[in-house]
Amino acid sequence: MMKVKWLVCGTSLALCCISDIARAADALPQPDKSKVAEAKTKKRAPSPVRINDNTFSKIKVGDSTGDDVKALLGTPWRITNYGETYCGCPHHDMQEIWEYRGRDSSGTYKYHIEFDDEGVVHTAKKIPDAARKQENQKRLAKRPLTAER
Amino acid sequence: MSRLTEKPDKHQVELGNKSFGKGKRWRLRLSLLLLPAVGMPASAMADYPPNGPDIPTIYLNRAPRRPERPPPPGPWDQQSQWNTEFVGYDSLDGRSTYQPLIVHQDAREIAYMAHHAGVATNRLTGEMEPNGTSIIDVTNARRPRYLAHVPGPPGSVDAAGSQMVRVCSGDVLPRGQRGKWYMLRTHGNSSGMEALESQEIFDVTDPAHPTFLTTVVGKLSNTHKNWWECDTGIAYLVSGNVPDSTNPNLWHHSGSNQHLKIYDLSDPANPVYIRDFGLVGQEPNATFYEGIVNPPSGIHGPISAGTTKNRVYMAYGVGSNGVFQIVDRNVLLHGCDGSKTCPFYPTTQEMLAPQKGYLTMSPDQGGHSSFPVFGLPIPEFHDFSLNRRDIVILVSEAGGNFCEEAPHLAFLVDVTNESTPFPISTLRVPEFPGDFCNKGGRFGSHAVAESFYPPYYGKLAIISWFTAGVRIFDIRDPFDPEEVGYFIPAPNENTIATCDPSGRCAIAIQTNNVEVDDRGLIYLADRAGTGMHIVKLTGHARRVVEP
Repeated sequence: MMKVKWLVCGTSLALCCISDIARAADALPQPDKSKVAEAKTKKRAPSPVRINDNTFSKIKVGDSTGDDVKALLGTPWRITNYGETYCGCPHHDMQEIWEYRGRDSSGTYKYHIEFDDEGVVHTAKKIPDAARKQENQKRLAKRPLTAER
Repeated sequence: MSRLTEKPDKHQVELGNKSFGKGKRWRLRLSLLLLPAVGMPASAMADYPPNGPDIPTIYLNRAPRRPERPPPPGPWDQQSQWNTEFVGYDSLDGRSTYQPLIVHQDAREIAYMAHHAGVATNRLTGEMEPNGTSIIDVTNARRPRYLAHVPGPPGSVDAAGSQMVRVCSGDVLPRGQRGKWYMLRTHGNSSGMEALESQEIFDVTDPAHPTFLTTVVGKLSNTHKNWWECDTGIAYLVSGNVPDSTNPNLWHHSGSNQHLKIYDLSDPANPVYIRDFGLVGQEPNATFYEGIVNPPSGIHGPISAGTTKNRVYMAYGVGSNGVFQIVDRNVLLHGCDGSKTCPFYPTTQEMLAPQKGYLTMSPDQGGHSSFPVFGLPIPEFHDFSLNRRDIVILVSEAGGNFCEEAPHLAFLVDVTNESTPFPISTLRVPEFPGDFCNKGGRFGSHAVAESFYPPYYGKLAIISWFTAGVRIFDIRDPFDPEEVGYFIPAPNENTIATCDPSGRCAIAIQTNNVEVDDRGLIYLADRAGTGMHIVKLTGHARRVVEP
């Protein structure tokens, strides 16, 4: 009986150590390297389209269509449409959003383009990524990161 | 004895107000660690809805109330947590996500994440695929493993997406094939003018290689939040119909164009239609209506309490003109037996027959989800007849970015007397601290976790609150609930910006729906493409649910 107790204690200790190590490594969301490697062995994802601000400025709000945008910038990195026509929610939240990724000397950003019902661009913005803003924020102020007590 | 504790029960552990000693902490830690490794037997979760007819019995502990107040969250671009702790993450390839579902499947924990419409790159194939359903092995919650993406419908993006998913075991379904697992999902969601949308079933026995099984029903519009009773096979499918030349007189709705289509999917390969249903006034030849508007608001999502309780709870209206309805399940399922007209063209009497009660909400609130909590012991009532009550957690959905509409809330509704449902308290997250309106995206309540997970049942309401993340409320005293925890993920490089009509844009996470697995871990799905976050309870929130 004593041996069993010692075995349980030993196993617990080992598991706790593993848990603490894992916890330290999980402080922030990190990409799973094994998954990245797995993806690389299969088909490589398309590289982000290289766009400069000059090209992007040719997109005209209220005028450019999806075809115009594709001709200028190529296939978007991501398209989203929340598609909640059922919910009675404000209609402008249900339009198609096209995004293109880019990188400049300040870090990564996205070109964010939204269309209206007629398929015409109504918003076109260059938006720095949150992660980049987060890095800047960390540089500017080293405040406590959580509100946990 | 604590104010919250009912009469002593053999199942209760005497914790009192004592803080845990080292030994107890050790045991808790050990059990937490061993649970993911050993896994809970499938049978342990098999008896509760949707897998079985039993409802968990609520045993309250003596953890004290109000030990702390919600602290302000951290900066907008950083993760904030209170009585929760980050465990794991997957990017979901940046796809906007609606419903999470975590299934204990063949000794593994599998997360099925249902996506809004869009197109993104599948990391496993390198192909751009229409958003559908992501399947992730979360057995090791710290290191989720992406298994597959089942693409949504191709073609027009605004008709796409597969926002809803349910999974049942062939061992539990009455006529399912033993050893098989089945995934029911919506296929497309839009105005429905092209009638492309459907409800479909996949074989996900090997979750890394799902295979299409059958289409339950097609030519639909506005598919959404289904419920599937695994132990009976009855499926409550949310959608609308698309009129055509042969069938021009269809069901009516205000706001959300949805009602129920009920099917017997006990043999998933051979769906059997039972009937359509909704709030009276929605049927094709309606002469009478209930609620604020005519025709009544469409249904958003039903939750069945199964055969033992014989009730289905239905929330109508999504975010406005809400109605909450209690329905007798047997009458609902068998009220049209032998009739050719009742299933699709019911009379007023046939629509009202299953109804046990309903509640009309304030016009600025809608019914998004309604989760029943049966037999909640009520403090201070233990000597009286209503010392255990049936409560429904009723949630309205916020729909406007940057708070361009009135705040949306969740309510605890006393349904002990079914004919007179009565709201007894409100669950609310204030705009400040946090400045949640100006973060961008939506701020307000959305959906309550719908898992009948016994340790949390009747103690916690876990609710997604868009820019305010997931909010956790102690509902042990339903007359006076209190918030006990939150988790707000940080936005990342995948987070989709929200822009208002004036062109103002902001990057913010939007926790869309939340769910719990059978280890007590909480899963957050992000509307803004931030990914899936897995968190666990700590501190006081954990003490509330400890035995």
